[in-house]
Amino acid sequence: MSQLKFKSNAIYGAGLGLRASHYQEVLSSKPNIPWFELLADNYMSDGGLPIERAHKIRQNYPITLHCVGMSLGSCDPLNINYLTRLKALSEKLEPAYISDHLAWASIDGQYTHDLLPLPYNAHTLDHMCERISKVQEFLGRTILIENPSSYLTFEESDMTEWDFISQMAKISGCELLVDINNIYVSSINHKFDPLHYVASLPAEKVKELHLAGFTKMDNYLLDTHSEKVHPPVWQLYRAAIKQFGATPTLIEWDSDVPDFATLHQEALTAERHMWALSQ
Amino acid sequence: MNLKKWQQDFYQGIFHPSQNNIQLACQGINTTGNLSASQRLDIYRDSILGGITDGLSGVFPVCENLVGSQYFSHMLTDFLKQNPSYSPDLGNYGALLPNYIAQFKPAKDLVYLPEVAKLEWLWHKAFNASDVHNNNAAIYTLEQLASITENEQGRIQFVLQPSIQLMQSDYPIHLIWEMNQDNYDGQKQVDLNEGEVNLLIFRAPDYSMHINPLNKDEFIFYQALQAGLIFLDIAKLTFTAPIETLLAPAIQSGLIIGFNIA
Amino acid sequence: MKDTKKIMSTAIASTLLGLTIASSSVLAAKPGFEKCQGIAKAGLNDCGTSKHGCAGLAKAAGDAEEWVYVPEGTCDKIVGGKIKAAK
Ligand SMILES: [Fe+2]
Repeated sequence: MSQLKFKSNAIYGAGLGLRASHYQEVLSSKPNIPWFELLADNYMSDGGLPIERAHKIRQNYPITLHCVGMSLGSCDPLNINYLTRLKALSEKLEPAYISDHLAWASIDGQYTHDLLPLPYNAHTLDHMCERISKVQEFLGRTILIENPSSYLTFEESDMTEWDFISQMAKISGCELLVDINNIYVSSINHKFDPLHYVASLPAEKVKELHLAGFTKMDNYLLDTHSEKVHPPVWQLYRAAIKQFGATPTLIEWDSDVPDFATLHQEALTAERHMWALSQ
Repeated sequence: MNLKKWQQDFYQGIFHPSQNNIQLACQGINTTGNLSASQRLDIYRDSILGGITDGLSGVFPVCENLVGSQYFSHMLTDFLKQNPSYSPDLGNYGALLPNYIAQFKPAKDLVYLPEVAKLEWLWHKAFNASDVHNNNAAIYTLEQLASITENEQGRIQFVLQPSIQLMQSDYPIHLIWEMNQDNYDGQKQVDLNEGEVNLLIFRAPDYSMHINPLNKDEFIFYQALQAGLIFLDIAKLTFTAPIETLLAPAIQSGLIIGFNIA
Repeated sequence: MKDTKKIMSTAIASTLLGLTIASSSVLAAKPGFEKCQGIAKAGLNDCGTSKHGCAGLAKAAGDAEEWVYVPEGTCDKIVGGKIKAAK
């Protein structure tokens, strides 16, 4: 990215995930939101209204491109068509960051459209790092990798998720998007100390945080992005800000999406914590 | 544990959950805690099938509205098993659903349902089609039509706007579609005996979406253009009205965006 | 043959005559049914959101049991044709 078309692509403070139901409000009232996250996978068609709107949003706000389709943990070859479209989108929109997950989504070319778990061991580490490096080379830039929420673990895992992620960042050169809610959800589902997880991450690699609301099920927590951020997640977030400093933070709210004002309030709450704790 | 083999087993355990497949998918999964391995698999199955079903609801909202969401999601269970999604973009999934519904025995009395599904898929394609300003399918602009010699006229291939979709139905499915839109306040019933329709579905340059009924002449004309017929062959087709009454409006309205010489 | 040629040149001549081709031609709405939609159409891909509440769906995927569901939507507003009385 030698010459930027847009004034700035740097992000700070608490941004929001852009949802179709809010486009019109955002474009007409231009709310004071520092940045928006766009789900890249929703802007990969040949043309049409969503892409046009993404351009308009970008003229007013910095953005990040978040992805769910790289399927980095899959044993399939990387999907070059997907990466080509992503690269074109990224050249058009100049996102501050491009991110995807520590997960797999497809096998034998068949997509589940979900983020599926991986065993954490040396073999998976090699596999992930190799693929992250290829993607970074293809896109010509560093990407952020996000920790997933999960509902199962493997007998063959011989390292913790936080060790795996730290090593992955070191070896592949990727940076990190730390989802605070995902850490909390997994910590309840798999019984580990979420504070220890956060404390073990390499602070200099953490470029963005996610916050969301889970749903409490009978025997586990489910990462539904359908509610307000829960109190223990705010608590964990405060610990993360103390450790990582004022890190750009995104509120994810994807099902039962509330009105824009409610969403905005969540972002303002995040900023209050952020500025209070990072002096 | 071979990672590729496990991913394949997991996929089978999700989409084809026979006892044997579930057992294979659960191999190597920790069973400590409150949930068994297969219950953990169930969480993922719920999430995966629920996510894809939500995606199809987004593409086929009228079909879902017609039968109700419970019926709709249960109708999809076998469809999801039989038709894997081959694109990371969920927006590319669902092309085969109209055919599936046509074969779906419990819905065989809902004769219009597969046709409505097809209309929704074409609408979805038009919504996502490439933009005219990014389209270089036509070499010549319409202004250049004036400088075409009489000898070249027969070899003109008119190029349609990229979002254009055409479909024919035995039923007034555009009325069914309209009746199921938000803020609809028209007639409260649709009579299938109103008979067949020819429809043109497209996205205008201002991104508004349109479903227009065509008369027989218009439908044949646009079909011929879509098939890439040269003007000589189009002129040989039988129309009840003079061909200029079809060509001029098509150009005027922006549905024809340019032309090539074959 | 001659006829076809004539048809074509007449068509093109009168098409050119009949319109000043505006460079930003707008698609004219046809009289009758015409619908402007799509403004609120949501993106279909999800930001890694886990779904639930479809346990029935997950189980039903396992076995092809007999069909017990009845359409409960707006299809009761469609009459005529070959359709039999619903329910
Ligand atoms: Fe996240």
